[in-house]
Amino acid sequence: MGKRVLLIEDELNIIEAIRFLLSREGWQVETHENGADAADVIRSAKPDLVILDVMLPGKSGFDILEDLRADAETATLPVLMLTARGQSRDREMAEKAGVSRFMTKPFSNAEVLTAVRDLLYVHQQKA
Amino acid sequence: MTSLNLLIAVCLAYVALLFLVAFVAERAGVQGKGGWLLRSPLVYTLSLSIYCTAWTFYGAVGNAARSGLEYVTIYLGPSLVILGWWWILRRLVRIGRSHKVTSIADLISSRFGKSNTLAIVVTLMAVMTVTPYIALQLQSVSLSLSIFSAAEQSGAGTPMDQQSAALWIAVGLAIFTVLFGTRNLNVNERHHGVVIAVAAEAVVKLVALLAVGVFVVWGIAGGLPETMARIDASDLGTWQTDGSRWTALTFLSAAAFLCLPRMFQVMVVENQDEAHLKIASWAFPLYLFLMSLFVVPIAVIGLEVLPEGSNPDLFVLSLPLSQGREGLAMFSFLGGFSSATSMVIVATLALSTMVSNHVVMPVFLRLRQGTASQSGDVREVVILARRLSILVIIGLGYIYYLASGGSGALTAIGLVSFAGVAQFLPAMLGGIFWRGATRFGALCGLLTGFTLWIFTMLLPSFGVGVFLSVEIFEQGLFGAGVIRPHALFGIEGMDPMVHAVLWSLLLNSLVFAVLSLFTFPNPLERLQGAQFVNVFDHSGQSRGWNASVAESEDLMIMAQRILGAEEARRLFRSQAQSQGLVGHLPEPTPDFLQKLERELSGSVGAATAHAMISQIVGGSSVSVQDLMAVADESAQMLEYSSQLEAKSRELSQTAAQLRDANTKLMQLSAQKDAFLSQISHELRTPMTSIRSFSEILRDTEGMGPMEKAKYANIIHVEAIRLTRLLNDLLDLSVLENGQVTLNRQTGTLGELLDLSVTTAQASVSEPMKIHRRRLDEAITLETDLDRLGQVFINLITNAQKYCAADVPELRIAVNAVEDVITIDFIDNGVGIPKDAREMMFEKFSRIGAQDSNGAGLGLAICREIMSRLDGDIRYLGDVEGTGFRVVLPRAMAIAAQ
Amino acid sequence: MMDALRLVAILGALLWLIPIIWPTGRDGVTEPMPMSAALYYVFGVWLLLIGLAAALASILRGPRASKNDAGTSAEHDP
Repeated sequence: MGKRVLLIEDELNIIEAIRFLLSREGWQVETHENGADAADVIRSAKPDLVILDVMLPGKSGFDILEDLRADAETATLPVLMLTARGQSRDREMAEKAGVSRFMTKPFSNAEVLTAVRDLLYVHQQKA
Repeated sequence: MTSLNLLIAVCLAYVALLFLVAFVAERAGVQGKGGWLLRSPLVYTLSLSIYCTAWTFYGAVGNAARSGLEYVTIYLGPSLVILGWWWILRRLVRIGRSHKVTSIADLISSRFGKSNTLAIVVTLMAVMTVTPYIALQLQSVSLSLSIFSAAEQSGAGTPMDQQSAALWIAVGLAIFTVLFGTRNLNVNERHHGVVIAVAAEAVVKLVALLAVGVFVVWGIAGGLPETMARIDASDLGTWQTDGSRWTALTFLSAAAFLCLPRMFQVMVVENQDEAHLKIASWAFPLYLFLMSLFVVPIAVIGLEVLPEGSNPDLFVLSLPLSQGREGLAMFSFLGGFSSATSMVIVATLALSTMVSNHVVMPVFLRLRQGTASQSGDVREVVILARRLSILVIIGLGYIYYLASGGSGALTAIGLVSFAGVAQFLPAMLGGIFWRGATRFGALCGLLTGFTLWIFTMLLPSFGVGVFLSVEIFEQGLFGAGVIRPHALFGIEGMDPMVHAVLWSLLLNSLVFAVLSLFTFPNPLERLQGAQFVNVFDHSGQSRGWNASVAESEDLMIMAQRILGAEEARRLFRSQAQSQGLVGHLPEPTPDFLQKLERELSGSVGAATAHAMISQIVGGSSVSVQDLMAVADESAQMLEYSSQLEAKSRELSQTAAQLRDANTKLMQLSAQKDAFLSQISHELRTPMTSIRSFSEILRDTEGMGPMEKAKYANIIHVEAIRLTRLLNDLLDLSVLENGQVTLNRQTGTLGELLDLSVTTAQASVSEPMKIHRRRLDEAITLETDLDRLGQVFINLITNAQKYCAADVPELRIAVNAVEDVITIDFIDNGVGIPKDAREMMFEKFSRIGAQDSNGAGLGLAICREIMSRLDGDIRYLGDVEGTGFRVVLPRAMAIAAQ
Repeated sequence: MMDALRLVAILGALLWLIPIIWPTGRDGVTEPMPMSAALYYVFGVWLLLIGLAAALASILRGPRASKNDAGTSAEHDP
């Protein structure tokens, strides 16, 4: 327990919802709202999982993901990506960039929880 | 006694010999052998002797017996012309060679702009004047035959015999001419066989006449002094010649020498080398000198020895016969026969060329206009036309002979003919010396001269009362005294011959000159005129046609440039092989040249190919018509290529347009994608919160009322946000599609601003301070006040939301400037970054992350509204804080007071 | 020499025109010209011209080409 999840999202209400869901499961949720310095924040926070929005002010989620994957330290970090744009091309881009799981908003809470749980478990196994 | 049969046999043998000579020469000419003979100035000089026909062979003695020394003028004229070759002949020959002139009709017509009318007129005139002359030859031969038959069985020679003899002669000559005159179609109309045969006959007639002369002077008269004494003692013993006739006849014979179609043929067309003229200039006068040397002695002795009433035209035959010298007589007969036959052959050849080239072929080509002409077909037709023309011309001569009944002294017919062809002289000389001469002038001059010739010379020559009645001779045509055949314009007392020559040539020249001065030549005429008159400026001494390998090399070089090296070499080698030659350069035979021309014309056009080949091989300068044809071709090619160019330009323009359209479509498509993404994002984002929290509310057990209220409120806010977004989207869509109908109202700007400020700040807890100058706002507007208010509200709300100052303030300034009203909304915030300003009015553009509620459609809607109201909204970049300016056209405003 | 060549024909024309003024005896005052004299004159002139032309032709034969061309251009240059 006590797994740390870093949520990069700029919609306050969505942050609120996800925080509520994950912390109730016993995970520790940290948030960051800006895209421009998100990669640095992730690297320094060293979370167990990153939930990444695509449309972020400053820098898009795809670019951040590419940054992470290019860095050996964060190359295998589980990343759950959320997007409100919902076009199939976005999914392709995300998979190409090395996403761990991709979800389209609006999501069901159960899905998010399952995904987070899966990712934390797989990551744990690997580790 | 010589049997008539023997005579005929000798004749046939002689003719056979001529055939043989012509055949061998023709063969040699084709093979390019024996060139030394064909190209010898001697042959050229001898061929000129067709000037001396049976008329001079027999008629000169007759003339001398009647009129003394007058006959000699017929030889003096030509002697002077050829002695003065530098003046006229050299020019004629050069023009003839460089323009490939085929006849005198061709010369005159091509000088005057290739006028076919002129060619036809000249051709018809030539046929009219030469046909009697041909008849004269037939008559002289049959007459001379009759002498022998009369001697054989006195009086038994019937006129019928004469006529059938003439017929057989005509047939024989026709065959010879057809055989050797139309064997091949040479570009320059040269006939080696005919020329050689004519030269051979020239020797025969000269030697025959000299033999008779020598016999008469030394055989009968007993030596030169005795002969002279007998001459002085005879009726012809003194100088009796009329000065005007002497001058006129000399002039006339000189003119005829230049203008006779057969003379033009041998002198110009058959000329191989201009240098031959130099030799001929003394050799031909010598020939004429010898031909005329014994004429007076023969005439005087004949008159003395032969019985009264003997025909002096036949003294040359009857003198030897009377002395029992039958061998000599037969030789003399052969001389006369030679004179007659060579003249008929060449004259017919020259005439048939004219008739077929200028009458038959144009008609034929016009008839089959439209059907593509193949050169092979046309060659066949030309040869056929040539042969038919020969038969027709000789036939005409024979008919004329039958019709005239063999009457009239030989000299008379000859002179009439001379005067007829002399009518060509003004047009010909004018054409080659005077650039101002025009086609119309030449045509009218020719017709004038010819008409006068017919009236004053040809018709009267048949005798009074035959064609022209006695009344016309005495009273004039239609009773008009000024138009009498022998006394035009009432001037009497002149010798009829002098009268006719003088008036016809004088008026011919006058009409020609005057009309030329008053008419203008067409461009082709002018160019041809310049080429003819200045022929020495742009044509080198032409090379002979029996070309050489050097020419083949030139052709090869040219062909390589046009066909490409490999192709040209292949063509030349195959041609050389087919000619049976070793190596790769074929002889430039006509066949080869034709083939080459065809090959080249595939690449550069027919006229250009022709001009190029004739420039190299013919040695002739390219004629104006060739050049014009070349120019036509080039123009066509130019036009074609410019059409291609235009088409490709069009294509590339179309392609560019397509590219533009495509780019635009791609942009639109990208915009559409972006727009859909944006809408999707804007719709999904609030829906995410709504869904997530509604699930939380549903699924979470034991949630306190505070929490429940908080989450329900989030759902409520997000639902409102969604509604507003949908409203904005619909609003924008309506505005963008122009479907909105403006609701015009009247109100003051101040009231509208009041309302907007109140609305914008209604739900705000801490309204920002707003500065206004009410005085400026007293402007009455007539526009859609609701829409304008929407813009104001949007701007005030934005300022309220985004102004980052500690104490936010907004200043609203109204200005009425010229024809517009500006309303500025300026807050005391930080302004908008430069790079965001451009996108600011686009849909879904948001500045920074602070706006979580707006979808970024507000300013886009404002812009749409302002453009509907014929106004504008823009960002004020040069003020402190964030400023927007709304611009309204003055037309919307009505002065308040 | 070229000029001489050109003048031969003119000389001939002049000489052969002289018989025009010979007396014919028709006026009954002057003695008519005897035929033998006329023959000698006419044929004599003929021989003279032939000789002249032949002489000129042979003189001009050697430098023919160059002289010919030079004469040609000189004749036509204005």
